[in-house]
Amino acid sequence: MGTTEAYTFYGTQLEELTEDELWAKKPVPVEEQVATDKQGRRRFHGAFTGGFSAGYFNTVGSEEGWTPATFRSTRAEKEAKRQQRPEDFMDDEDQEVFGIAPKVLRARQEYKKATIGGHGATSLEGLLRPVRDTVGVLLLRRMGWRPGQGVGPRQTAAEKRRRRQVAGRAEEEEEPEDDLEGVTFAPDDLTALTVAPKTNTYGMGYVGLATPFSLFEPPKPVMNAAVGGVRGQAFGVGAFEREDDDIYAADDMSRYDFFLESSNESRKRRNDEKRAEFEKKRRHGESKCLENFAEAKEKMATATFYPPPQVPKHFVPKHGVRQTRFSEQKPQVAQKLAERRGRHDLSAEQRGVLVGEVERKTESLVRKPVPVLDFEVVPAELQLGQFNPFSNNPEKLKRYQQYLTLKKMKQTDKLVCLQPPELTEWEKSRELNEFEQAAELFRPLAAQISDRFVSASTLVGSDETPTQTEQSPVEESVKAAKLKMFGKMTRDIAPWQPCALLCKRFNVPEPNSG
Amino acid sequence: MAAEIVEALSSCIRTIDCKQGAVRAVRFNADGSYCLTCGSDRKIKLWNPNKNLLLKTYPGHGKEAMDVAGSCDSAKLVSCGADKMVIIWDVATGQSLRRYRGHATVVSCVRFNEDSSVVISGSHDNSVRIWDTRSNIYDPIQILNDAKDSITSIQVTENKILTGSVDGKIREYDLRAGQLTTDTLGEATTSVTYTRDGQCVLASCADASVRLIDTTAGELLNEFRGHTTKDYCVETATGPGDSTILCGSSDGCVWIWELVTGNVLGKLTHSSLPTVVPSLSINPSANQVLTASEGCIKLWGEMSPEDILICDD
Repeated sequence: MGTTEAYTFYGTQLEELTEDELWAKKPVPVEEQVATDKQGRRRFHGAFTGGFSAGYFNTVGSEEGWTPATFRSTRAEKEAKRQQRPEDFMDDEDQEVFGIAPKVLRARQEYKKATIGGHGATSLEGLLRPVRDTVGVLLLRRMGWRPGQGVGPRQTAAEKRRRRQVAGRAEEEEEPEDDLEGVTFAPDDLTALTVAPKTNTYGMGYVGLATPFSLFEPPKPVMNAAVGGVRGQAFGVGAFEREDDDIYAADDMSRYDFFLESSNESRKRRNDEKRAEFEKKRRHGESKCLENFAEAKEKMATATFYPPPQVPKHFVPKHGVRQTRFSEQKPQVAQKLAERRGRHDLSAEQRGVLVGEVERKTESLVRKPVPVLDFEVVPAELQLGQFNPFSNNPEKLKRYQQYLTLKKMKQTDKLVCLQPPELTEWEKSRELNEFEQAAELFRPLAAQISDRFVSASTLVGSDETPTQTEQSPVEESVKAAKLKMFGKMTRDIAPWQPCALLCKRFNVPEPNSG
Repeated sequence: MAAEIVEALSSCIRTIDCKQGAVRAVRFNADGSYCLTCGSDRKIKLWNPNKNLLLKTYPGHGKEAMDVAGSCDSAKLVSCGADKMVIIWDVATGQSLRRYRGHATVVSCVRFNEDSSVVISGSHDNSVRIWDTRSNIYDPIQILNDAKDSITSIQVTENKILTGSVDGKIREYDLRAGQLTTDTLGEATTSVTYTRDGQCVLASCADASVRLIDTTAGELLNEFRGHTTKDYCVETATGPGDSTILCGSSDGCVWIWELVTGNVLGKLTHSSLPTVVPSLSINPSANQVLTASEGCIKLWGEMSPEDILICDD
């Protein structure tokens, strides 16, 4: 009880509920918990239900009624112009919290945007100052820093100016002070980055017509999408589109003609101007060009020079011509090749000797009786001349010629009889293949041409005359008919199958099947 | 006997000017009460020749109509033309029921089969195409490609199809036996028809002859000469009673021979001018013959008693 004196009471106390009241009151269901306004009408929590409740209960201004305003203007007292404000048409409800013109405390337009000091958040910090300096500040002061300076190595005046330029601070051109050669300055302090929030609903990068632009100045360089990054003008275009002209960019008067001048005249004028400029330069001694020449704008690309390859010291060049199998070999070379026994040229015995085999004393395998083929090689085949595939193996060559003759007689299988028994089966078949291929490729000219033509004599005897036999039965019957020999000669009976549907339609059973 | 028939036939009862240009073919219908004419004006006309009435006109061919045949119940008729089409018409309404396309060139002849369920057409593209009318198939159910030259004439019986071709052969397709019998005549055949008994085949040839061939052995039984054909296709038929042979000629007459002897019995002089009579038709039920030449058709023979009363000649 005594403790209540320590409390401060704020607000209206709720009525104390009795037990009976508690039990009597049923909880109101959600649907019945409606909000009502002053007059007891249902409210939708501030939503405009439609229709202004203008005046007194949607009727007139007051209980007594609405009296129209009087208009009285005399010569002496002129009626002032009646200014009508929107507030005239509003009532108390409109001026409540949820009305259309709530009476609240708001900043006026001129004070809306302004922030204290123009720095946003940092300005607040500017107001609130610490009582004591922090340790860091104390240390910096000891090391020579003064508030307003930046932190970092000292810079010369030139460096400082350059930094300022890079930072983008537009300053007037200062005369370089040559006397300050060795003097260094403290770097500039960094300014906090301020980000201005977007307060409008325009598209990004749009500045509209509010920005002052002039037709008589060259337009500011437009950010190209190719530069990369998120820049203005819709951040660049897609891969398949061409970039359109920036329609919001300022126009430049230099794009338009001011004088009625033909292209020739304009060209001449420009050339004259260029020449005058060049002359002036030359007179000043600035350009090093000859007369009637102009300095090139772009540097010429110098041709790249590739040095020759480095030859090793002990390199001795040797030049040898690659020989084909079909070129005529020099006799010395051929002899040498013949002498040189490569491993393919060895016979089985020689190979055995080389390997170190013990000589077999067994009898050689029974060989098939080799029928001696006695025939003359056609002289035409001997004239292989240039097309001599087996020039280093005269035996093989001879066999090849014999093969060609056999081929003409269409007895190529008899080559086996010609081949010596030293050759293995595989070698024999390989030789046969080689001969076949060689015959395909290396044919003397005469043979090639003769292939395309067939003598007339061969045609007559070779083919039978099927056409004659075909015509004969037909002609026979016609002949017989002409001779009025009707009967067997003129009649021909052949099987014929009518289709199933046809038989069905004719009501005839299908022949030759059923 | 034959002479009497010829005398009876020799009177021209009616002459109808068809006004169709040149009449290519004239046909009696199945019961002989009406006739059909195909004209070079691309129309088919249905006439009652006894009463000299034009009953209906069937336009629809793109080019001149070459041949026409009536169905067994005379409710439909099929026509073919130089426009490569074979058209089935409804006789009563005049509507075209089916149009068969398939031939490569002029269709020269067309026939129904016994119960008119199948249409058989022959064309100058050397083929005979068989079309089914009962089903929905618009393609030919069978194509007979045995001829080496144009088909000029077709005749259909109960189970046989007889075709005559310019290649000088008559082909008989026997459905029951499954055989094709080819008879070489040596001369281009312009018209083929069976005799009434079906034992023989009459074929008119381009060498101005009409040959009577025996179907069993293929032997020539008789040959009828005297008329001229030049380069025209003329038709031949067996006269009523099966004792006479009729054939059109290029001298403006229809020649009549006696079948057995081969003697010329008489002529039906269609016109005095040497114009060809390309088509003729024998009435299946009466003693009448219709011949067509140039632009008109002529009805020869005897009139039935009812018609005599009604007509005003």
